[in-house]
Amino acid sequence: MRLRQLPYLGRTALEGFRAHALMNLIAVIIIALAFVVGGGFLLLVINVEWAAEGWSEQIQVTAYLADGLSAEATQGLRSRIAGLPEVAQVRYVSKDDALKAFRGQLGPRASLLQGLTESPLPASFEIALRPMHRSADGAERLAGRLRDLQGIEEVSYGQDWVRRLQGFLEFLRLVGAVIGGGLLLSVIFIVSNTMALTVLARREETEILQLVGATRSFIALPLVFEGMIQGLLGALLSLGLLYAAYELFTTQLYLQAVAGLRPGGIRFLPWQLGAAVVGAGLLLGAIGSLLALGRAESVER
Amino acid sequence: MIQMYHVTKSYPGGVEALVDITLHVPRGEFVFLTGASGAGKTTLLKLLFCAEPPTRGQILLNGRNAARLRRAAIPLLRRQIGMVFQDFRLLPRRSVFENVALALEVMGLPRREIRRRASEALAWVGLEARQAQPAIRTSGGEQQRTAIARALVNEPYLLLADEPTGNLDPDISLEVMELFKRVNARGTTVLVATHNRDLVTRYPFRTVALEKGRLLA
Repeated sequence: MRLRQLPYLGRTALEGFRAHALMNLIAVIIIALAFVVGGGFLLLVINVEWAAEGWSEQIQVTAYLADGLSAEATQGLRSRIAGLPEVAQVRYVSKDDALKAFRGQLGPRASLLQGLTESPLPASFEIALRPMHRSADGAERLAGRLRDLQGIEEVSYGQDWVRRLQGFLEFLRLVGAVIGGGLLLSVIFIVSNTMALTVLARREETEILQLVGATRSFIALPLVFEGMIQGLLGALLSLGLLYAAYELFTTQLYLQAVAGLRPGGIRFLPWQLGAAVVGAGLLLGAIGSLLALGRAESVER
Repeated sequence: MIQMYHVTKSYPGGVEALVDITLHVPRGEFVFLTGASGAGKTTLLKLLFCAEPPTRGQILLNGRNAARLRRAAIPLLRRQIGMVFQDFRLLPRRSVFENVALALEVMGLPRREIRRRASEALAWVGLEARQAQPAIRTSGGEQQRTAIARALVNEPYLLLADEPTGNLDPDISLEVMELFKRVNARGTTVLVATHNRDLVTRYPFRTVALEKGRLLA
């Protein structure tokens, strides 16, 4: 195989694609639909992850202080906490402040708290994390350090929802992997079946090529290219359809607010993932064609 | 050139298409291979063309053992052998020129070289004026001449023809035979399988006859 043969092989592939235009078009549409399902799921996963990232950025750690801690000890504790690597800011919330805030949250029902002479709520430090540590892991790490400090009774950072969210994300990824794997196989199946028909339709041409001394790669490459064209067009069409759906979702239906995932709304696949979808189309097209060729050769033998 | 030693070709079910064939064709000779349908002419050509391996025996082509060629080496051997068939075996929608150029495309020659050699071959068979026509829109004689130009464009040392005049009327058949004679005059060994007795008697070339897979003495 020589490089200067590529234009001829590419032309032959395009001619082949045109010669069986309807069959190839149907295959492209089916491939595109498979990629739309896969790409749609990918879109869902990245947006949920993105939203989770956004929520994690708002993570705040609250360290509740032991009752009866002296003002001096409290100040010392504050300085130590402020010196921890994860910490950006520390705000002291006294027992009275906590009660006042609680009253505020209760609103009209604040009368329930009438009669309290002393705040039953503990004093606390509300700790904001540095940007690079604003994640479930960062919060977990800081919580661990805080629990080791004397004078701190309890630490909370919304562990439960973080864990639930992580579990949900893992579930989504697993479902994504299963769906993705199934779709990859189905795309290979579609390409290999349409290419099997092409191989059959080209049997005479293949015989003539063998007659004039064409190598196996010279005979196989146009078919591989044809499969790659199918995969490429299917992937591009799916990206177009996904983008149209995304535009409709975000601009026409104003569902951003309903979705309310995070400020900035829903985002489309980043270009790297778009390129990966196109690459997958090309690769699966090539694999499908090679399988069809392999099958045809084993029948001949 | 062609040396066959005790070549037998049998197919599953015990059908013997060729039995114990020993045949020598020296370089530059013109040989007719005759016999009734089913005598084994096509099978013998297939073995020479490495389309199938012999069941037993050895085949030397230009000193190379064709029976033991690796699969990857077969295309290279075929580029040195021209092949012409009764049904022309052309790509019908491709032009006459493209059909001839195909034999050069597979070799990866530069475009200019392909153009030059294909044009020369077409001029040699008298088809330069028809080169842009799709093969399917040319006459049977023109299609066979296209096939001959394709077989010769690589300047092969051996030309094999399987019933090349089978689909042509008598006048055109003679034209095709004249082309083969000219090919042979250039030094190419020519082996023509035919059951057309008129052709065989008209030309003074050696005739090798097959009957039920065996060479007649």
